[in-house]
Amino acid sequence: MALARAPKPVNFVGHNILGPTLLLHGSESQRQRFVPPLVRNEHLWCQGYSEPGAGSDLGSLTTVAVPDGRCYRVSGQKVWTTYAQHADWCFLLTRTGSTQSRHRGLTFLLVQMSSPGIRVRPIRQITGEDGYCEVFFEDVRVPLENRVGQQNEGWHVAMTAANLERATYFIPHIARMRAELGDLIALARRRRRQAAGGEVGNSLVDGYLNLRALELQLQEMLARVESQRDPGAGGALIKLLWSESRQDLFELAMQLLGDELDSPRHPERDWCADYLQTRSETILAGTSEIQRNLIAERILGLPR
Amino acid sequence: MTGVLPADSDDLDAFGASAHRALQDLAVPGEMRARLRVPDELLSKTWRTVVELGWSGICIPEEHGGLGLGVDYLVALGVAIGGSLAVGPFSANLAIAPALLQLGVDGECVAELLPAIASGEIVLTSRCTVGDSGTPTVDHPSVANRALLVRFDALADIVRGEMSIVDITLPGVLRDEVQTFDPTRGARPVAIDTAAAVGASCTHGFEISAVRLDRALLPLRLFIAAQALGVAQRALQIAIEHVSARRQFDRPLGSFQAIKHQLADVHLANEKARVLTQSAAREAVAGLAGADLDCHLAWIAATRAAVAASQACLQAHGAVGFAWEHPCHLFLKRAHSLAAGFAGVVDSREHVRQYVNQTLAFEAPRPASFIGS
Repeated sequence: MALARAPKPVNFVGHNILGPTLLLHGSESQRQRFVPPLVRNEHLWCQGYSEPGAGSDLGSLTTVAVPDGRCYRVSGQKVWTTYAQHADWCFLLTRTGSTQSRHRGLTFLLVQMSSPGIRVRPIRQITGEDGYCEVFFEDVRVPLENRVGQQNEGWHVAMTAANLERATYFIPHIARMRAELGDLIALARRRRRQAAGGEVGNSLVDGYLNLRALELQLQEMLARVESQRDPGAGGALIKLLWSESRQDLFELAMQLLGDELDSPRHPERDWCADYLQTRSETILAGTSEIQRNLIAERILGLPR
Repeated sequence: MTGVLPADSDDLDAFGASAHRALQDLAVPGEMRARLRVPDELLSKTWRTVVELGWSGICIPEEHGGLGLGVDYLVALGVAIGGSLAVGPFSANLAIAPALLQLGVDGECVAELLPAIASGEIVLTSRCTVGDSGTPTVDHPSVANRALLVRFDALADIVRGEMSIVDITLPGVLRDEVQTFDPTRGARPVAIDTAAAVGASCTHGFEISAVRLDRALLPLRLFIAAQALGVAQRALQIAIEHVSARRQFDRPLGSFQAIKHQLADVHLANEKARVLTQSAAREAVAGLAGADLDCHLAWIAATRAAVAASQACLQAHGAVGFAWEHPCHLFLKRAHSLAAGFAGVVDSREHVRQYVNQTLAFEAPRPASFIGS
């Protein structure tokens, strides 16, 4: 799909993150209730993790869920929630432990976005689009049966699935990168009216080298997942290399565009919008700084 | 290497680990602490081990007396050699000679020379140059008895050149040791005129297609990449050990984020080099079409990773890393020496650049609306 340049699937957080989470940690009835409509895209999902005061430091999140009979009462605010304005459901990390409980006091809840007390405000991004939202929760009732895993074990639920999904998540992204590099070469030829040599040629060589390394690392990671071995922190390497080498490609495109910068349409692709998008990839889903910490501490074993 | 199947990765890991153990005691750093050059005893001890373990014939077919193993084993051995900074004319005997002799550039020597190299009776040291570059110098001649000197004319579709085999045991054929950037090479120039005068050399001219030649030398390029990868991985390991033990400001150095991020980047570059080198070797053994390209990528990634890792290793050590006694400089110098050394007649960057320009732009499918625009 990615190679044929299909648009990005609208329900990708649901398919990539919630699906694996429910298959690993959901109860039988949760799987029966939520997985089929997810597969048929009848339920669009959004992910409620980040908060105004909890970005890279997710363990400090403060949206509280207080048990009250057959339900939790949820209050707080989430932010940078992709497509919250279109979503039917949200999977949410909430605090059920004390303020000091950090990662040990979090609970994973599934919340219907039409519940009373939820307000969504889209945020205009630097691309001009409304992709992210703020989501406000005011005493929202969430039935107990919508809790995935045990109370206060939400971090474990969220992270084991995140480790697994990192392997599959990058399949379409890395396939798409091959097409992007092809477009960049076409742009270089068109703007230079000749084969790209010199500095541009070197950057293209580096781009291809990174792409090939990513394809091979992904294959290794998928083989590990298939043989039931934990992919561990290896996903951090792929995420870091993919996001940063892609930024290099689109930065080169911006240099090549020259006086086409303001033209409304380019033959190869919308370079300007895609360039801006690449600037978000080193921030979302764990910044590059967090990925480097993960590599240093979890893979190289450096002291925390 | 037709007829050889890619090795099971567990077998390769076991082979690499045993190679590493065998080379550990023969490693240079300890010996170089108080010296300016590698002692001859260490060299001859190393080469005895190489011959005893059959590595001198690692890729030489069994019918010529070798082990007949695939390039993937050569790569596993190369990583161990690089990581231990072992010394010896590895490339000449394990990669260059088997490739060139099997191409037939020397006429009829295969049946005679290959078994003698495998058995350790003949130990080659070599110098390959593209274009004329004056008096050839050869590395580690004290452990060798023949010099393989190859000169390729400038690269064209058909490469012409000359190959000489020189008996370096005759007096006056070798000149005095010269200084090299990597002090572990022990390089000495070969006096070609003297060799000819005393009848110590035999020379053949050859003509061969550049594509065929590049393909035949692919094991050499991967062997160099593998040694560079070994240097890169070991330099990172030494850096990690240092920053975990060394304390400043009441904390281990490695707890500072500036150090962590630098070493994380080194690991990323090393992993790129590792995955490319191992895959290229597997593809080469399986005879896949993409092997050439991945092999050039592997060489680029690994030689670059070796330089970057050994630079970062020196930086992480601070002033102590600048002392001759400390092995940091040996990794740095070996890294540059590998990157500058002969790995084939084709420039890897140019090869990839041509592929990217000519092929990749047309591989990517175009959206229908832009066709013909």
